[in-house]
Amino acid sequence: MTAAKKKKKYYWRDYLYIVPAVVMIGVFFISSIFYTLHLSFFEWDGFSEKIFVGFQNYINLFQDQNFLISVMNTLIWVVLSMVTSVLVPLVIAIMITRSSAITLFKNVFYFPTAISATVGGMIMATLLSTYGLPQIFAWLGHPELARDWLAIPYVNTFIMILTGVWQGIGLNMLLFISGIKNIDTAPIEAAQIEGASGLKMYTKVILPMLKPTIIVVLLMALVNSFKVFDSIWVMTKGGPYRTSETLALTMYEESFIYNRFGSGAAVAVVLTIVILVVSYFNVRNTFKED
Amino acid sequence: MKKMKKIVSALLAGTMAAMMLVGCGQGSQTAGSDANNAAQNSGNTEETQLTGTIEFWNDKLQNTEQSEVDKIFDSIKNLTGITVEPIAYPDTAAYQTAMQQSIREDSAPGLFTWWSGPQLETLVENDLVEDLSDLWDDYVAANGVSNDIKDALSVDGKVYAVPYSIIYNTMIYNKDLFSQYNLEVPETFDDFLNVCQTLKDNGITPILLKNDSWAGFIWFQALIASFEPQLYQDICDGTKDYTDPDVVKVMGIWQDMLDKGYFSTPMTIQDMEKSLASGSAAMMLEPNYEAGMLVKEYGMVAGENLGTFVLPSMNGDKKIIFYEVSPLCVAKASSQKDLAKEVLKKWFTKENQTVLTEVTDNVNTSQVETSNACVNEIISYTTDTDNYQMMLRYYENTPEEIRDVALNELMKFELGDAGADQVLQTIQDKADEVFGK
Amino acid sequence: MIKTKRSTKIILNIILSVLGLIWISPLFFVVLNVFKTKQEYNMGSFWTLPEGLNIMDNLQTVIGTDLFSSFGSSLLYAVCGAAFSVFIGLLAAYGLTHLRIKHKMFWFLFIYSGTIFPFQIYLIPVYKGFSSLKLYDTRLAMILFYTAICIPFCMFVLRNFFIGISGEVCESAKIDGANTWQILIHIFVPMAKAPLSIVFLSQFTWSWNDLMFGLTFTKSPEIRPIMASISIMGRANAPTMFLACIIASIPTILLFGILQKNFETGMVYTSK
Repeated sequence: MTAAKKKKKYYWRDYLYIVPAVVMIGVFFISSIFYTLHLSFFEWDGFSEKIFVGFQNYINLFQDQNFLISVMNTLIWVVLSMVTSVLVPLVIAIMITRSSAITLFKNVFYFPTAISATVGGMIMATLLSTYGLPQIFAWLGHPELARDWLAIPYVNTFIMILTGVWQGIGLNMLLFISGIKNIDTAPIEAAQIEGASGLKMYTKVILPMLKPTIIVVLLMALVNSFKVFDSIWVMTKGGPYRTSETLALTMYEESFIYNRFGSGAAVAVVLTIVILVVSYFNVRNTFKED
Repeated sequence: MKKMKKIVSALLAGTMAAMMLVGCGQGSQTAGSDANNAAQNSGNTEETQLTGTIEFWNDKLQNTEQSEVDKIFDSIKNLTGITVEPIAYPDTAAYQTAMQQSIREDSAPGLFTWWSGPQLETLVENDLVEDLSDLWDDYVAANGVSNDIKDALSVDGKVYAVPYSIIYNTMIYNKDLFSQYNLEVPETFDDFLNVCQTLKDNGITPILLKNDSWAGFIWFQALIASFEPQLYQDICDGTKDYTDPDVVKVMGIWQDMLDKGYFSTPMTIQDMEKSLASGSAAMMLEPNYEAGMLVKEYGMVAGENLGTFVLPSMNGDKKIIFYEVSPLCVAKASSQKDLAKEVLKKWFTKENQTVLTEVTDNVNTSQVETSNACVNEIISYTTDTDNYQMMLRYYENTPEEIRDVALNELMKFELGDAGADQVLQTIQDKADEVFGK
Repeated sequence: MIKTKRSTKIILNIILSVLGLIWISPLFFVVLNVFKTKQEYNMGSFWTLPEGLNIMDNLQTVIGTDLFSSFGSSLLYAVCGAAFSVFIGLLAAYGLTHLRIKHKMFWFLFIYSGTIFPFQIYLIPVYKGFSSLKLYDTRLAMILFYTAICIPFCMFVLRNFFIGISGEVCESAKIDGANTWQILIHIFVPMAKAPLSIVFLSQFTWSWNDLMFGLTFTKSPEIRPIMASISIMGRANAPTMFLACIIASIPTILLFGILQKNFETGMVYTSK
């Protein structure tokens, strides 16, 4: 009896460590998502009385052509972000750790991350506009390419993902470099003695040891690409004719441009559920190991 | 070196801690003193002339330099004794949220800019903005604001806003290019097409297009109204269908112009300005403030190498100038509303509007003379009712559900990604739904 | 680490140098144009050299704005937001890895969900909350908000780091008589110097660069953060705006320099 009691008291103490985080998140964000869930069952223009419409917002959503394009674009961002924000920084990190000027290269590749996404987006938009980089193609004898690249439907999504690399890899690269520097060298030496080298060394020995870092980077990249907003908003505003819209943009436009807050909330709820499920499957394994 | 870094970080941390203490205190103080001001203001009303501070929330002034913005509010302070503090929201979501959440409070801004059409109606329906009908005749129209725009600011016959800006869309063109190729300002639509052809033959892009996602309607409305002004009104209010043979005909003309290469590929507004100023393109159909931009930011000289004209009619009707109005409203719940009305009484005086026009290149009253010859030219069109007619632009003139579909479809058409028949049918399907046919 | 052959090293150096040049070329673009007048910028090619040195005039224009008053505010928000969130995130990460808490998965997702939701949905409810608590337009509100929004990332990164630290370390410390708090401070924190530095840097940078929340929850110029001041400059004068951006990037770059020594330090830990 006393032993059980003692144990319980001990548990209670341990919970104190997570209380501040839980309270802050609960107060600011969990409450917000419940508010949004509530809003998604109403029709609301922001000022008038809310009108209860049940699941109508969700039904409309799945019948809307633009929503489907938006889902498609979001998937393109998510898939390609796996390459641009996981693979590219990983390769660069490996290259940097094996080069002669680690600090220099690290600084160079981190630098764009230090400036804000809004400002970076503006710089990129200027560079991609008619008188920026496309002008080089005019000089090279391809005047048909000397146009605003961001105004080309569907193509512009890929261009934005590509320019996203410029600002997107800094933090992940740091995490990878730090991870690589911290791994235990004993297994590597052992493998070297056994004669493993090059690619095999990475896939069989080093990458498995980088797993904790890779999980962090992968999941953050997933979540961020599902929610991608800033860079698109600065560069194309989702246009032309809503072809470069992602779910986060659709949500923003429905709510704040067209003043259909209920419908915007429904997009947010769908997006949240998708990310939650994806995150669950990503972290589930790390808990099984406990 | 290491020591240095430690010192720097220690310094940073120290400053931070100090600032935090001071900062938090200051923050709450500001909030408190606002309320005090308001209380004093209402106490003072009866004795002396109204003085005090009001807030002016807007999403308009973010592209203007601070020193220029100050001129407007110095002017109004001189005229009324009231300090107007502009608070800019360069992000729509931030602005919407802030207005939505504070408009029912007494801390709501005295003055704020808003959007005309359904957005203004929503505020009126919820009884959130002051009825300004009393001010209109004596202080607004009397100072030379056109009565034509009253409708765009009214709901059920009552005026709920005054114009913060009235924007007129006309052709803005590079005069040097016109004289280089012996071109005259076109008087008929055929002249206009000839001008385009000549420019094209000489390797100049005739007309610039904007790549904003909403910009697809600009040439649609212009060509429809050039064909027949009444047709434009009829499709906006649902009297006629988008699949009407006349509309199809106009789309054919537009398609023809696109095929002949009279339009540029859509580009950013900065690139349009640059193309026009550098002489690689000749014309654009844009608001009057662009004439101001081209002078101030690109060194063009209005009247000398920069001119304006209005797109001619295809069938000898009056030439149509499309306008838009940004409403300036007074929040009903605001503790500053009386002061705000006092400000509005002087807002349209010649002194104040002259400053406003110099800073923003928006022309709201007929009394204003500006140093920009192009802007003056545009004012003269608006008063010449024998030859020109003003019409509310498409964006605010048709139900928004149809508009949202139409903007996408027309942009598709403009980019050559969909044919006229398909585009018109899609818009009409939506119109049938909205007008309940 | 693996030994790299000389030839491989040279190839790597060349590839990285070329990539690196591409990486900083937008910076050249910005620096080049800071020296121009606005008409020169608007009319000329972006890549031509400036005709004169207009930078002092541009600097004057920047000084004329609210940039420097909001510089202090932003520094306060970013430092406090990052510091508090790293601390709270550290506690939670420790709790979720090495302490006896039931339903760790649930609590993890609960805290982590702060980054899952699309950020725009926070605008209206948080505004409502702040305004009913009379916190709207105060520095305290901004610090609280930035702290809260940075917690999930800190918790997530640190948790994944702590998973790699074997439980035996704790057990042996406990036998020596250390309590959970002492184990955290004396054993875990020194090991976690690298991830702690990285999350502090990244969350400082995030808060510093945030525009949307800073703009929505404040209105007074002295409370508004620096990105709000920059965004108000808009497109009227690009050279001035670029200069303002450079000035605004100084703290994040400086912080990167200060913390950079820590990124690779820390104990070698065994991952399972």
